[in-house]
Amino acid sequence: MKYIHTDPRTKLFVLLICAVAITISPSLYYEGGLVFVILLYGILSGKPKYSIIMAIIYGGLLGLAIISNFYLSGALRIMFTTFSDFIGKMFPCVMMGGILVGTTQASEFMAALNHMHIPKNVVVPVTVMLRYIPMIQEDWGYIKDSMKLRDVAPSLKGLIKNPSQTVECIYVPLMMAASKMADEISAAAVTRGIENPKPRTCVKQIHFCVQDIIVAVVFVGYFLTAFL
Amino acid sequence: MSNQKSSLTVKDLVTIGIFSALFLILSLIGGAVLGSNPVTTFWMPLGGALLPGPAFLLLIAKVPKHGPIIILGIICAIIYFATGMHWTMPVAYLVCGVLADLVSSAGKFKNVWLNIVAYMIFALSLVPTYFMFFFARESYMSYMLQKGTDQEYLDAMVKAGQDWVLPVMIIGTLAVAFLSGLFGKKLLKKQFEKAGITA
Repeated sequence: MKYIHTDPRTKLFVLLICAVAITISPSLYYEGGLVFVILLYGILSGKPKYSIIMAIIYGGLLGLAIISNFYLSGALRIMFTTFSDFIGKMFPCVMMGGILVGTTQASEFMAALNHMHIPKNVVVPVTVMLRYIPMIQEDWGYIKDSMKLRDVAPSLKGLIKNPSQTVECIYVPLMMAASKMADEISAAAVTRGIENPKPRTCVKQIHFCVQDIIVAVVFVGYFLTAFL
Repeated sequence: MSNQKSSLTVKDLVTIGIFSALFLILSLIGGAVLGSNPVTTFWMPLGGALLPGPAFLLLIAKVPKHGPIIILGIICAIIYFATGMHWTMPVAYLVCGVLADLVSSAGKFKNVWLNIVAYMIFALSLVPTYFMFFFARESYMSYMLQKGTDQEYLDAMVKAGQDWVLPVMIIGTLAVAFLSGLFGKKLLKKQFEKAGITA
């Protein structure tokens, strides 16, 4: 099956629609429907596993909210319903954001932002940030291993027994790695001519096609049902 | 701000991007622990202010110019908007970013104490979301009642959000941010300046 490919700008537009839809959402069912539309879009654009897992988690939360609304009372019920409400409000956008990052390459994303005439002072940090977030997780794994080697426990127990040493052992390598990475990435970027004042070109041509219009129309259409 | 464009090099921009990633992760870890639990949700700004102080100070130490804090604010605003937060939060990040930049520039970005104050201002941007709950309570309540939430639920929510919570939240956030800044200052002095990675 061939996945549909949409322009990064369309994805950003859809994300915007989701954020606005959540703020004006009239009911829980409306949010559920929004998640369903995002699920369809995620499957079609080549992230079926991620989308289905996220949708199942959302379904679980929704079920939890409904069950606790019927069977629990008092403080417990409030705890569960506010919890699921809080997560439920964030969920559609987080899911859409995950699809956006997962299906868009850094260079494509940068080209799209340049097309939108966003200043370079914002485009470069945002692109670097999106690329670096997964690397923090990787770094954290290494730091944990080396902390174990040096007999500093990276756990709650170690934090209570030996607070300042443990915290320092997390922060210092994390920030050292970050600042070294900044040097390396900027050297690489300069080598590839990022300082060139002429507008950048991109191997991947980005432009709007039929599927962009369809996706945008579907999301806008769903958005408008909130006013019915 | 007029010289901002000419003075930020590519290296600065990359550094800002990387430290924004670090800043966001650290503040999300602190905020998510408290924010996802309804009883402690009002203390979320405190958790969010607890961890990222050192990253903030090191960012200013590495890029002592106009711009990094404003761009950090813009990035936070984009991310929080994209994750569907209430619209007051991104706006607060933009405003606090500019204010913090001004405070920090008063000390030519080299004065650690002013930088800590800038961090305290920046940390406050998590608070205004809760203004809506406290100041627009009536409309919020009637809206919730219309949606079918029952009275018992709302009573408990009001009980958790007493009026004294708001000032305590602001002062608490400032205090936690100050402690985080102090810790960052200690780290800067003890480790990063010796290693020569500050500008």
